[in-house]
Parts: sequence; structure tokens; C-alpha cells
Amino acid sequence: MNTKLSYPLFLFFIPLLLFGSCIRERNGIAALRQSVTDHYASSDSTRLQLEAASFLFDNLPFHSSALPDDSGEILSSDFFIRHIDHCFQLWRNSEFAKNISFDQFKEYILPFEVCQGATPIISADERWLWVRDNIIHPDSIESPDHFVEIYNQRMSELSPDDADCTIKASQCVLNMRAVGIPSVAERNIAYRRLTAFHVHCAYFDIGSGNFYRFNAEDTDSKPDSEGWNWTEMQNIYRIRFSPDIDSPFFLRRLTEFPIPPFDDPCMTDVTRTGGSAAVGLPADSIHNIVYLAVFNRDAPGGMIPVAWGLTDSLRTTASFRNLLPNTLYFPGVSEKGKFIPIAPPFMVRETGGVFESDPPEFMKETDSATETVTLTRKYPLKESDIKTAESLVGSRIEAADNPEFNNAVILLTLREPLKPLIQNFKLADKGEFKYYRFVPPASHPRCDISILRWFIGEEEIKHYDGCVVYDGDMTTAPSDSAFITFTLALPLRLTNIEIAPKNSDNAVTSGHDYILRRYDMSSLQWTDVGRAKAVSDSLRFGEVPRGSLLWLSDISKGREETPFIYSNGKQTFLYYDLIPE
Amino acid sequence: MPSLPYKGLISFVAPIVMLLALGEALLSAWHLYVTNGWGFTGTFINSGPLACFLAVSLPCTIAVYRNSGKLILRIAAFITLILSAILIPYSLSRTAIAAAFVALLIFFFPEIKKRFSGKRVRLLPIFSITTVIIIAIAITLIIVKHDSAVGRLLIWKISIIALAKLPFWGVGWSRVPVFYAENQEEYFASNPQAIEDMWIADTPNYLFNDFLYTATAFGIPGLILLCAIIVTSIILCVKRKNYMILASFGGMIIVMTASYPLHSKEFLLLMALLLLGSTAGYRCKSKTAFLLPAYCAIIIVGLAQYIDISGQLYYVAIKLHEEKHYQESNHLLRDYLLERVADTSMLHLAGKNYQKLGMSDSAEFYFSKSVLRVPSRHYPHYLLMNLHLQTGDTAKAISEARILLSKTPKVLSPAIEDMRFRAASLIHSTPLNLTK
Repeated sequence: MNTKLSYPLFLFFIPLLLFGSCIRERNGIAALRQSVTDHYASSDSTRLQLEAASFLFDNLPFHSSALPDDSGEILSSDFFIRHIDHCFQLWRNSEFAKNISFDQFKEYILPFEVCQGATPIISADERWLWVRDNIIHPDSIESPDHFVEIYNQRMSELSPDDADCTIKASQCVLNMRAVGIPSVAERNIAYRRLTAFHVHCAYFDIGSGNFYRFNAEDTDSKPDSEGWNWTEMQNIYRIRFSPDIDSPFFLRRLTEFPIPPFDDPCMTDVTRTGGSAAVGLPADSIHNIVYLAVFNRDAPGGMIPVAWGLTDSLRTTASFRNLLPNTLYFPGVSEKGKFIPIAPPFMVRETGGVFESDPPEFMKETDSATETVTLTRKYPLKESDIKTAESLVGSRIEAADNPEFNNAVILLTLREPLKPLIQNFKLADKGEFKYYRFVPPASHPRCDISILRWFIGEEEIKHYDGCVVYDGDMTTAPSDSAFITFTLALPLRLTNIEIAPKNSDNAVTSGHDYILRRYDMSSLQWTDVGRAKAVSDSLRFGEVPRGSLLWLSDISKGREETPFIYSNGKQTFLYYDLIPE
Repeated sequence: MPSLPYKGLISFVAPIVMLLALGEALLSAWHLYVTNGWGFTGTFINSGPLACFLAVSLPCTIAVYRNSGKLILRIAAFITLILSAILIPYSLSRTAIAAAFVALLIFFFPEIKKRFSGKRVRLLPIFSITTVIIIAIAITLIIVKHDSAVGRLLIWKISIIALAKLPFWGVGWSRVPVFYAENQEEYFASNPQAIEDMWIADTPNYLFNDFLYTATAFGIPGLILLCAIIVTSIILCVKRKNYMILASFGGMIIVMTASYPLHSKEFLLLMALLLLGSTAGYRCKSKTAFLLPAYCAIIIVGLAQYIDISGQLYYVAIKLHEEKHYQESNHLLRDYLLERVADTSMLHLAGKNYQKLGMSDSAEFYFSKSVLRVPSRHYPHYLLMNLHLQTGDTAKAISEARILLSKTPKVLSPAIEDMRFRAASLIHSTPLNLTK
């Protein structure tokens, strides 16, 4: 080529190439879509496949992790065509899917993603092969229940590590879809008492028209269409591939940012136990959406939104679809995506199927008087902790001069249930021994003891044999052991023990730092009353407004906390004493 | 042969054009001052045509600055040049920049040619670098005003589709916008996947190409006549080496290709002066003498288009609607306005009249036309939602509410928020058909 021509041509083409690459970048998804739709548009017989492809591409913007990257390598037209073809084959042939409608097919079989970014994007045909090779041959599946049982069993063997429920549920749903079982994942945002959220699975049975819910990779979980919604669970949201128009994402004012996770429009409230109600709330004209939060110690401000409603045109009431009775709701709105309370908390009362809001009686601060409170717990004593303590009645401390404990003497027998605290007991004086042991009662042969310390007078005889009773953790115990044995180098006369039952460790613990907060009805926020380091098993705070809703937070350890009222020298907790199930 | 000297008709036309440009430039400078640099329009509706006007006037302004014997005119021309040099690029009008470039190239062609005569010129590098610079500027301007560029392409695409339907007779000057709008409706009805086009589409009163507009209005014969006038003028200029008027015509052709000068009184006056200027150097008794009355006739016809009573009639139609004379309001719309005004408010008023008359099918027809005419708008969906609610067709009302809520508005306004809120209330109050 003429060298005189080459450099001007180079200069001429560089901007053109840059411009061209910009156009290509912009049109990546469009080109991919065109390629897939062209494939199905060639024949009338693939009209539904074309619609299915449009469904996937139309909703792809709501699933950013499923969008192809710059190189376009994650998803190709070949991926879409293989995936869609396999799903249609399932829809035609699968015993569990062949009678579902096209709309159901699009939501429960076709989508290749469940929770955003939880699983790699794999086409259904590849998943089918994986299930065949690792779980069960799809032709051998007798029923969805049968698959769930086998799947949970095999997965607990294949990946015994405790993965996140979001990942487990996503994997399970996608694998079920890949073998032709219509299924979805569902989630809650909070529990009444637990500081947690959960994602579970549900399959759709066309015969009964019901969803059957279960936990993925949990061998104890059996699919259930009835009892999944229990009182503890806040609203349940079904995770969809297409957006739900009846969601804050769409119903909000355009200047109003939904509070996560309600910024995801692909969630539909499927709570079964809730009821709809209009609640009088002082909203303003710049918010369409009112959120209802529940207490959550990990959430900013101690409140996490779990439900939402739409204001009326006068902005005096908001209508909610699924309010749960026996829940203390904190109403609020979104300010740049953050929850801001707008009215005092309320509860929902159900009378004959009608749901109405009520101010909680227990939150009325009767006067401006203050009092000094003595607190022993940040969370109520659990039923399981009480049962553990009761089961230890009859436990004894034995001593002997031989390791077989022949002719052992009993130094202590527990006649009363232990408190969930470290307690000191005096041992009977029956001489010097080299071997000591804790023996659980015959009726409950498990060492559910979390702390065990041996003393001569004030002096602790330290012992390090790796047993968890010496790790100082109240939540662990050598439960499967028949005894907890303490062997000395030479015979000694032990005088005392310190002992604690295995428990949730929610009592005030010496050495931990605490913050006491109260719900201020004027600012509608949790405000600090005081901070203190515990030096015993109780804490005292002065000048606490009488009748306030309080929250004792342990900032050293642990996550279980719940609000309470202090009255008559006692803590009465929100969801145990004040609001029964 | 030397260029046409600066005397006679030229020394008469050039200062007038320059003074017109000076007036526009000074007015724009005042706009810039009072808006803190936010905007300027001169006597035009936006800065684009103003910049185009200055670009087309540039050759005359330079000619006055260089050749006028009167100091005051030279100072005025100098000020005009300075302001033009600022305002044309500041407008970001691609058409104006291109028109200025072409006009200057033609104007200075004799001097460039003279400078390089007898020398060995490395044309290739000059050509290459110039091309690269032009492409870089063009890409920058397209990126900066992407929607405008894509919008213009859409208008031309639909105009050509429309023109193909009536290539010989046209639809008449005043009916072009509605004819275009109806073709746009058909285009979107048959191309529901044209999302980007839907986003940018509007109801233009101009086609951003006066050749296309003339062809749509008067058919191919009309276009040939327009081209004949311009070509004749160009030939006249070339024969007499009238580079000043020739350069302005070059700029004008660019502006006519990408804008709407024939819809502007200022440009029509400028065009008249240029046509007059193109006859400079010819004797009155020559064969070209017939051109002067012909040009005058064309200008009178051009100005006649501004006798437009649509605004007043629309006001009457609204008053009739408010006074519950729905039939009469619709007569006015059907007989005049819907034929001549493309704006969707005509369709909305017609639909509302039919709704009040209980003719919901006709109301739906007009509201649906509006949806297709400008698909990015919320209001026709809102009207349809209310219409379906009134007729008890909840499913269709919900369908419109869904569109209202999922459609991204071009500009946020309280009216759109209000429409969206009503749609949200409908959606949220509708019982769910959901398997829990």
C-alpha cells in the first residue's frame, strides 16, 4: 500500500472505529435479544418460545447479575436458546409441569435466576445433567416431595458446610425447575424475636393449586402447604423474575427512594396469616409509601421495615394488604432510602377477620416521673433454656479415689433447676479425692453444662483438658458426654463449684458493656438512657422515665435482644409477656 | 476573471443582511446577560435557528467588514463577527456549525485558490486532518445532543415513509404536521419494539428538512420547483463569481437540509435578500430580469403560510367543551384543527368531548391515537384509565395504570406524580388474584 496514503487513512478510521465500538457496546443486549428472537421468529410454531424469550429479556434489567458483562461471555444467544428449548421440553413432558399455565410456566420454570447473584448463571439443560449425575435421574422422580427428600439428603452429604440460606434456596429452586418441578423461593425480612431473615423454597402443585414450602438442604424439612406461616415470621415475600407492579418500586413518588429490600420490584407479599387494614397515619404529600417496621437490634435505629402500604389522596391514612396481629409496628417513610418514623407504634387487632390498629396499652408513659431500674436480662429466658435447666435436676457431683469411680461418694445433688447464670455451690466435706466428676441424671443423660469451675475456698483449681465447659461460653456444652471428669495430680479436698446450664447467654454478664435505650414517643426514636459495664449479674440505671419501652443492648457480645417494660421491679418482655402469641 | 466587486446591488444587500444579523446577535447577547449565560434565542424560538441565521449571514458580514467604505458599517460588522464567533459554537447547533463551515469555505475559496496557485500543495494530509477534525467535532456534537440527533433521524425516516404515500401531489403546506403525525402513529403501531424511537418521538411542526417538507406538502413537483429556484440562483452567482451570495446559499442549503428556515419570517427575509443578491451583476434588461418578480411571488406565498388561526380556534373549542357544547367543540376539531394541528391536545379534547357524550369507543379511538402519536407521554394513558374506569372495564383500566406506573417520564412534574398516584391507588386497591 502507498505509505503516503496509510497515515491519513489511519487518522480517518480511528475515530470511526471508536464511534463504532461505542455503538456496539450500547447495543450488546439489544443485539443478543435480536439474535434470540430472530431464532424463534422464523416459525409460527415457536410463537410461545418467542414470548418466553421476550419475557426473559424484558425482565433482565431487574436482574443485574444476569446481565452480560462487557465481554458478553456470561450469556450468549446459544445459552438462551438452549435454556428456553429445555424449559419448553419440560413444560410439555414433565408430569409436574405439563398442566401449568403459560404465565405460571414463565415464573416457576423458565427463569434462570432466583436471588440476585446467589448462584452462577447456568442453563436449565446443564442443571438437568448435574441433577442426573449428582442427585437423582430426573426420570426416577416420583413426586416433588420425593425429589425434595432425595435432594436435601444428597446436598447435606455433598456440601455439609453451613452455606447461606439464600444460596441454598436459589440452588434448590433452579435445580427443581431444571427437572420440571415448578418452584419459587420466598423470603421474610425479619422475625418477631429472632434477629434474622430467611429464604426458603416452595414448589407449586397444580393438582391442589397450592405452594408447598420447605427449607433447602435441610433433611428435617418436609414440604408443607399449611403450617409454614407461624407467629414468629414476619411477612413472606415471593421472589419473582418479573416485577410486581403493586410494589413500592412502582407505586412510590418518583422522588421517593424505596427502602431496601423494597427497592427490588420482583417481590410479592404472599403472607397467608395477615389481613388488610387502613391505618390512620400522618403521611405527607411527598411520600406515597408508608412502611411498617419491627424491632431489630441490627437494623439502623433498631427498626427494620417488613411491610408497606399506600397512602390515600388526603394523606391521612395508609392501606396495607398484609398486617400481622400480635406485632408492634413502627410506621415510617423513606428519606433517601432510610427508614424515618412518622407516628407512634401501633398494634393490629383481629376481630372476626377484621383487622384494626390499636395503640399498645403497655407503651403509655403514665407521668413524667423517673425511676431506677435493675436489669438482669437483655432477652427473655427461652423455653429451651428452662427445659435444659429443669432436665439437669438430679445431677450430682461425685468424688472417688479411682478413675472408675468405684465406691464414689456424692458431694452435691442438684435439687432445683439451675438459673441460666453461673451459680456457686458448696460441696459436702467427705475427704480428699483425686477424681471428681459431674454426672447428669439418668432421666436426661446429657451433660448440658456450659460452665463448670472447681474451687478450694476462694482459689480456683484451673483445668485445661479442652472440654467446652472450661471455655467460658454459656452457649456451648459437652452434651453428648456421659460425664465431665476432673482428675487431679494428687488428692485434694475441693470445697465449691461454679456451674451454669447451657443457655442462650442473654443474662447480664459481668465484664460486658451495655447501653440502655428507651423509645422516645416525642422524637419517635430509640434514645440512649445510659451506658454501663456490668460488674455482677445485674445492672442499675437511674432516672429512667417510668413506663417507657426499654431496650438493653449488649455491645460486647451476642445478638439476641428485645424491648421490655420495667414495672414492679421486673422486666416484662415485648413478645413474651406483653404480646402473647 | 475577478470576483464580483462590492458595489451596486451587493453593497445594498450585504449591509442589510449584516444589520439583521447584528440585531439578532445583540438581542442574543442581552439574553445571555439576563439569563447568566443560560440561554439566548434572538427573535427565534431557540438558539439553534438563531445560530443558523448568523452562520448564513456570515459571508455578508465579512464582506461589509472588509469592503464597506463607511466606518460605522465596518464597526457594526466587526461586532457582528465577534458575537457570531461566540454564539454559533456556544449554541452547540450542529447545523449552524456545519453551515458556517461551508459558508466560510466557499467565501474564501478564491483566496485559498490564489494563495496555493503555482505551489505544490500536499492536499492529502490537509484533507485527512480536516476530515478527522470534522468527524471528531461531529461525533462530539452527536454525543452531547444524542437525543436530538436520533430524533432528527426518526423524523426523516418517517417523513420519507410519508412522502412515499403521496409522492406527486402532497398534502398541502399546513397539513404536513398532521400527515407526519399520522404516519408516526402507523409506524409505532407496526413497530412496538422501537423503544428508543418511542422515547424521543414528539409531534414536530417541522420535519427538520425543508426539502422533505416541501416535497410532502407539494409533492415531487414542488420539490423540483424549490430546487430549481436555488439552482438557478447558484448558477447566477457562479457565472458572476458572486462568492458572497454563493457562500450564504451554501450555508442556507445546509440549514434547509437539517432545520426549518422556510418556517421562519427572519429566514424568509434573508432568503429574499439572497435571491435578490444573486441577480447582482446582471442588467435589468437581461434574460434574468423575470426572476425578480418570480422571487417576489414566492416570498408572498411563503409569508401567506403565517396566516394561521389554529390557536384561536383551539381556544374556542376548549370554551365550547367547558360550556358543555361537546358536539360543537368536536365539529371545530374535526373540520379544522385535527387536520392542521398535530399536537396531541387536539386528540385529547376530541376524546374528552366523546367521553362526555357517552361515546366511549370514539373517545378511546382518539386517546389511543394520542398514545401512538407520542408514546412517551403519560397523559393519554391517564385519560384511557379514567375512561375505562367510567365504563366499568377494570381490566383495561388496570392495564393503563400499569403503563402509567412503569413508564419513565422525560421530565418530572407534579402533574405526572398526580397521575401516577391515581394509578397507584387503583393498582393497590384491586384485589390480588394470587396463589399464596
